[in-house]
Amino acid sequence: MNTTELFTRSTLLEEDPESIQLVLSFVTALDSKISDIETTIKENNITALKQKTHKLKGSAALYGFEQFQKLLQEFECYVMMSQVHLYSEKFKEIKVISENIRSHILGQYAS
Amino acid sequence: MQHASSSIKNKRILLAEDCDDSRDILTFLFSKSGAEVEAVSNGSECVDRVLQAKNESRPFDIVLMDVHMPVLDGNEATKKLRAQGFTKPIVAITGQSTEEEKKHCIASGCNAFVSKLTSKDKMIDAIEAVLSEDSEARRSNYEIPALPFVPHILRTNPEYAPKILKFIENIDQKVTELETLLAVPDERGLFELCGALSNASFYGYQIFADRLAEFQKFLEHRQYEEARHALRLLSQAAKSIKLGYGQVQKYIA
Repeated sequence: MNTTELFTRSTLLEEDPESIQLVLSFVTALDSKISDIETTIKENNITALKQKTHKLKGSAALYGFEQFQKLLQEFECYVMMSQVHLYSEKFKEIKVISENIRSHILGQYAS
Repeated sequence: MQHASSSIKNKRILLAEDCDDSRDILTFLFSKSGAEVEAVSNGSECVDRVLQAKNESRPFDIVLMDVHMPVLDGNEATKKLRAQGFTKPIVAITGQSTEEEKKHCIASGCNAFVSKLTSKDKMIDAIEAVLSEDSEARRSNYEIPALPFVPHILRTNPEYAPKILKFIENIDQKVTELETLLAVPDERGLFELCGALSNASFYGYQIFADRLAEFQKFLEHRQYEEARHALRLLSQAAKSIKLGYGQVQKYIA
């Protein structure tokens, strides 16, 4: 399994194919959630940033995107420590991975 | 991933979760395990729905409570539910898994804490474990039980009877003293008195002992507001023990 496959796999979907519709909805809405977080970073609203990241991290875990959740957890830690440079860098990675998840899951499962 | 969930099957679950994605997937997972799941999106709605369901004679068997929610957060909603006499299990579900947060959830009145970051199987197993818990033990956490409790040690070591009776006789007075000392707060006096009550575990009053340990932890961290709440739960456990006095006397006779 290469790095892209590792980051884009949903263990939930692998274990329970019936979850497909929910996973598709989550993935489809991922773009807007990432954009929202990006806007919050630009606004430097740390409280809102913590809340939004925390929620997305929890959802990512529940939908089985374990590696993506770990990335969000690292990002959340940097936000909590107010390490602007570190969380800005981590966010670039999150954006790429979320796009990979989107194209991989939609490409593979959306009809 | 179909769970052969005996405890969770046909149970009425109320899920309080503000995040749509999490709410949808948790509803899906628990429904697949055979539970009847209803969902609300904040703590205030949760408190209202629990009360409404009780009035409709269709109470929930368990509440799954997200911690970070708007309007009323999970910890505050849990405190309200316990204050209103809800004695069924409340399980905190959150993405944060620090010890501090866990302690806060338990002190608020949650029975257990489950991280969203854990596997689905572990999450369901944890909830099943809570549902399978001895209901009498759980009741004594939050309300005065209908049937007073006779400690197990009396059945195996009857020579402890005088000490246990004395412990029960004094317990509510000791808790009142704790309340007085906490109002000051007199740290030294509080720790001494907690020490004097620590036999509770040995006598088999585990719920009281657990609450006492929780209370002491808050004292150690000088978290007095949390300590006051923990003391209220301790006081309820003390009342429960006190009610058992006659039963213990009868058992000894």
